[in-house]
Amino acid sequence: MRLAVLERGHRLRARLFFAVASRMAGGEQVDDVFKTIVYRPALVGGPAFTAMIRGALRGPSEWSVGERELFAAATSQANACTFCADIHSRTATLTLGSEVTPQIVADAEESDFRPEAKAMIRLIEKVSQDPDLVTTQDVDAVRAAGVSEAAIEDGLAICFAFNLINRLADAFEYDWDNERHRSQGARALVRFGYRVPRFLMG
Amino acid sequence: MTAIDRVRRAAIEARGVTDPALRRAVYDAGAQPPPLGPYLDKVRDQASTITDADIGALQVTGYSEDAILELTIAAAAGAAGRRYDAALRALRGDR
Repeated sequence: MRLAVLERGHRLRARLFFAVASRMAGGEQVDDVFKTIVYRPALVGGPAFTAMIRGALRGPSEWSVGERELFAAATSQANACTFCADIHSRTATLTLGSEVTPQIVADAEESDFRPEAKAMIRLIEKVSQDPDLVTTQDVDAVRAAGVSEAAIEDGLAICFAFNLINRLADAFEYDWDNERHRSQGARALVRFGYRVPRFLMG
Repeated sequence: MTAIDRVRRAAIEARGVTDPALRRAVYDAGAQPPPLGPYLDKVRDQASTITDADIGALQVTGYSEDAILELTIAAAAGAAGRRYDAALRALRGDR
């Protein structure tokens, strides 16, 4: 990462957690998003950040977990954030049960995704790339696909979260140490569902 | 207040090495002198093009890593928030 403090500046409690987590993960480190938010958690709202991410990606919703991972990948792809588009394509693959790649997300119209998810992805892409041009007609198109108001709001919450995270990932150059680290990172996101121990967010 | 609201607010108001007034201005995409202004424009509009040199230029000018972190989060939260607000206005029929 471009900022050394995000690699080595953490409080003792975070460093101890990293050591234990690494031991449990066969030597692989926690991911760079995790390292960033627990460095100075108050900067992203502390527990509110975890509540936002967990609520958006794992809380109650009409969307499946896999579709929400897909929306994370779609936001990231719209922002050309290769780190996040890649890892959330992998988590979408693991949770949807069919292969998802950044290219498949970019070509969502030709995919086998549900029409409701395709409509939400179109809105997410426009909100991310051309927010000033978003109108009620764009939202109406998602409604016309059969998506409820609550589900549209759920999709937009994911869009918000990744518009924030994508920018941090690219500014600070998030990456993986190797392919094993990357695939283990994807599995960890699915397994732990974006939980962050509360003592690290205070 | 929703979790998203609290995250947005923290990006501006959390205690840090930079002045919350500056972070508020950065969040709102107010103009800043170089090299800070051009860097933050990239964070908002083309973050994938940010390079080591962009961060290096800030450090040479005297910005600490903590200051860069705080200002980057403020700019990123502002850009994400502007998109979210636009979408919610469209959802409510206000645009």
